[in-house]
Amino acid sequence: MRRLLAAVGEACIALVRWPCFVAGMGFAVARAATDPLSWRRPVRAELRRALGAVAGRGLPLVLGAAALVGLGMVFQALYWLGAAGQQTLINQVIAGVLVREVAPLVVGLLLAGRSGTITLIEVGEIRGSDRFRLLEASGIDPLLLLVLPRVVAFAVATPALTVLFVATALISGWAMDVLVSARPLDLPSFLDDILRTMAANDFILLPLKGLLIGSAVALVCCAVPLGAPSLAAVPARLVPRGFAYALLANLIVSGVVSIVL
Amino acid sequence: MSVAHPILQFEGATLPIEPAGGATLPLDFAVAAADLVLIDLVEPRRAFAFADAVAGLVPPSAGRVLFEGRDWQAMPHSVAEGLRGRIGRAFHDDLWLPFLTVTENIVLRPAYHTRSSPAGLVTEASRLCRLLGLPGVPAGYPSEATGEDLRRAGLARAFLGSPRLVVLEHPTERLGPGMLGPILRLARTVRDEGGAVLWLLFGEARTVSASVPATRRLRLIGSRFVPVGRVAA
Repeated sequence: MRRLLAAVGEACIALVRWPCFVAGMGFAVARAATDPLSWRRPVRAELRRALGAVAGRGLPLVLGAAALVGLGMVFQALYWLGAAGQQTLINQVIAGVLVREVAPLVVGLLLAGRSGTITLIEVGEIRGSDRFRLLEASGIDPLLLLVLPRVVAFAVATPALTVLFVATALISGWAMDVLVSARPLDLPSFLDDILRTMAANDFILLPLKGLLIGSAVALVCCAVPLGAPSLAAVPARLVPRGFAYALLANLIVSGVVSIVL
Repeated sequence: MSVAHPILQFEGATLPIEPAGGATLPLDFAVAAADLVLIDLVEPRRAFAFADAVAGLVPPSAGRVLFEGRDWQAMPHSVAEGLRGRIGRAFHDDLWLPFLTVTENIVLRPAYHTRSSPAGLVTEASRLCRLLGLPGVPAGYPSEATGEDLRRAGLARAFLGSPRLVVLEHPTERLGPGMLGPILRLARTVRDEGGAVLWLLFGEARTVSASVPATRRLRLIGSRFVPVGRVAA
């Protein structure tokens, strides 16, 4: 009986260990982010570098994906629902599916794949070697130099890229419709209709979802190597596991925010 | 009236620095301003662990290690981090943050802990690199620099920002005894400014040991630190 209880206890602890660790790190980052003393020059420089890497280098990827989603989803909705005479549904489908669900999720997935894996490797290179000792010996808090700027960069970049994703998808879908359709919509009225269809909470949901998804992806990509030094030393093991956790965090956050708002 | 504390003080400290897991016998000694202390630790991993103990990263099994009169283990984490910012350390291994340039790596510690101007730090880093035989700070990322350039730049990093204590992990082992002169000149500057230098040795280091004008020399024999040899005035 005691063995059974121990086994159940171990499984429960293993199940909650990572979420607790990530949540704890999240609280520590949130507290540090509001403390002006945290933003020392190297931390600010690291934030600029991380923003450039996440937003700057992620931008072409996000715009390319948005154009494809625009062709695959917005144009399809315009074309088929238009052909079926369901014009009123077009805006609801686009606002409900693209803006609320697809855009934040796809941007989160793209950033997890591109910048998230870079974060895993960068933080893993430090944590899995004596370089971590170098930081400690220099009196540099790894949370401030490694985690804080990356989390803030992801949290800022993801909503911004999500908005650009939505805009690009709408425009590319509309452009395709102009090329193909006999009676194309004009762009201002198309965008105006979409905006009118969006509910008030959609305007909160879109940036909030982006912010939370970006923060969660960055936190997970930092927490996995920092919490498991032995894993951090082997990139071939670190990256698949960290990437899987980041995707899971992305889906969970997206689902929870959609349910709440 | 403030009391002048030694920069570093071991009070009956038994240090768990043995690679097999054991600790030394209690160590009692102090490093005062202007000291140059040479410690032969026989083996590189002991030197690394000893340097960690000096910075309060490895707590003593018993006794205390004090930096500027304050016990590492008794002070808040944030205070300890601030004090570690006053210690320059030249690691035996090439330890660099790969996503920062060599220049950013070198100025990282003083830029993090002080308000010194970035341009001033870079200028000072270049001056130190030139004193150590480089044409300037190696350009680009650590992965783009040669091992020898990084080792010299690592010394510049240790001496940058007027540290109170500089810990050198056998710097001439891989750079050769030809570097003794430049290192001793930099050590002299630190000592003249009220700092101290802890020079850790291991392996075959008799030539270096004889050439360094140490104010105190210790050797770890077995698990006991034993004073050895002549000392400079």
